[in-house]
Amino acid sequence: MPLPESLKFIVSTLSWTLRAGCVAHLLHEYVYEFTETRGESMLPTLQRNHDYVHAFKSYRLGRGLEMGDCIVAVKPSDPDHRVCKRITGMPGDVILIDPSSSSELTNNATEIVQHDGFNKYIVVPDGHVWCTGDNLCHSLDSRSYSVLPMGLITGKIVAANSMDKKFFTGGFWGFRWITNTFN
Amino acid sequence: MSISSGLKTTLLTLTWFPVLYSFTNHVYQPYQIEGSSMSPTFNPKLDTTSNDIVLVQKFNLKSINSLNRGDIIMFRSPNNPEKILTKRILGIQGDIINAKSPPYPKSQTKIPRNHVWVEGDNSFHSIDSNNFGPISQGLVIGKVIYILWPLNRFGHDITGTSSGNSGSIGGEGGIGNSRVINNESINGSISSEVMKIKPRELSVKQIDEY
Repeated sequence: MPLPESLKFIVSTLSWTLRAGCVAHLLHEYVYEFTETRGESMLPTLQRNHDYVHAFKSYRLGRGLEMGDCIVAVKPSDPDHRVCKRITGMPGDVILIDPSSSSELTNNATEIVQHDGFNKYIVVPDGHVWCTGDNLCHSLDSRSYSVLPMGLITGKIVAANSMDKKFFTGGFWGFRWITNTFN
Repeated sequence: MSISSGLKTTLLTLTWFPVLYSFTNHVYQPYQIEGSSMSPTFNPKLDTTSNDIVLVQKFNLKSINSLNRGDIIMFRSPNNPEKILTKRILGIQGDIINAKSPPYPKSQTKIPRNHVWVEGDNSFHSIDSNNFGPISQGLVIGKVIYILWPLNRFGHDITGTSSGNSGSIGGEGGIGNSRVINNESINGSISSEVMKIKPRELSVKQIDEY
């Protein structure tokens, strides 16, 4: 018994929606993503609110990344959340972990000695990166959760838009490229 | 006419490939196990030298209670993101592990939030958490649920608790291991508190920075 025309139409619409959805999902996962970011940790590169970033996914798993690149990564202490940070140490680099923990501006004399911040180093192991936010005072990053495995990196941020800006201000919606500040 | 209809069929078949690929990425995918680090659970090399093929579950991996002690998981190696390893979970967040030292620098370690301690069942031929420490749950790509090949071990018990899987599992990889100090009451209260304060309502699309 042949299917009625209306049922055929519904089935074909659903099937094409599924196929198109999967294509969009794969592009999102492996090629390009446009997504919102929030938080103070990347000031002044990214605003606290209303900022959207363009991420290239071919850099996922740390492929072809360099010192100074902005990355999107899964948070090591919470796989449901993602963070946006800048790479400040590559495998083999020797990193001074956190000199600010012994800064005399924020610590008293005993804490300075106790934290020993000017004397704590780490060598970044293979397959890991050291990453910090641009706003060091307000960023939860490698200084607290240590080195980040490259397997958690999902992409590299290449540009950003500020949606609270007017359409014609500089670029459209405050468009700007995000560059490697180490070069 | 027949050429154009053939072309049409080919193109229509191709449109299903993204669907298939998404399915293997997020639902189930068969994998071939290489190496002897999970012997005798996988690749025991008793009656055949071929590699085992297993079915891997790709969903429900990120939530708090999705991974348990004794589960076998596949994850990206922390030292080389292109390499995928298969190991058994020995301890979950909050557990205290008596690590093998050396190679691990400390003899006892507490597993941080949303991390797991993994070891191979064949502890003599295994690069595992004793070398690279506890791994983040974000590196996990799947949970092994069935053996598909060889057929005589199809659906064989892989939990590591049965008497059939004796040998190194009972001593090293199984549940209720003497090397794991898990205070269930403490651990349970920690995870339930974590669930309460977790901002579930946040959309997955956002990138959170702190």
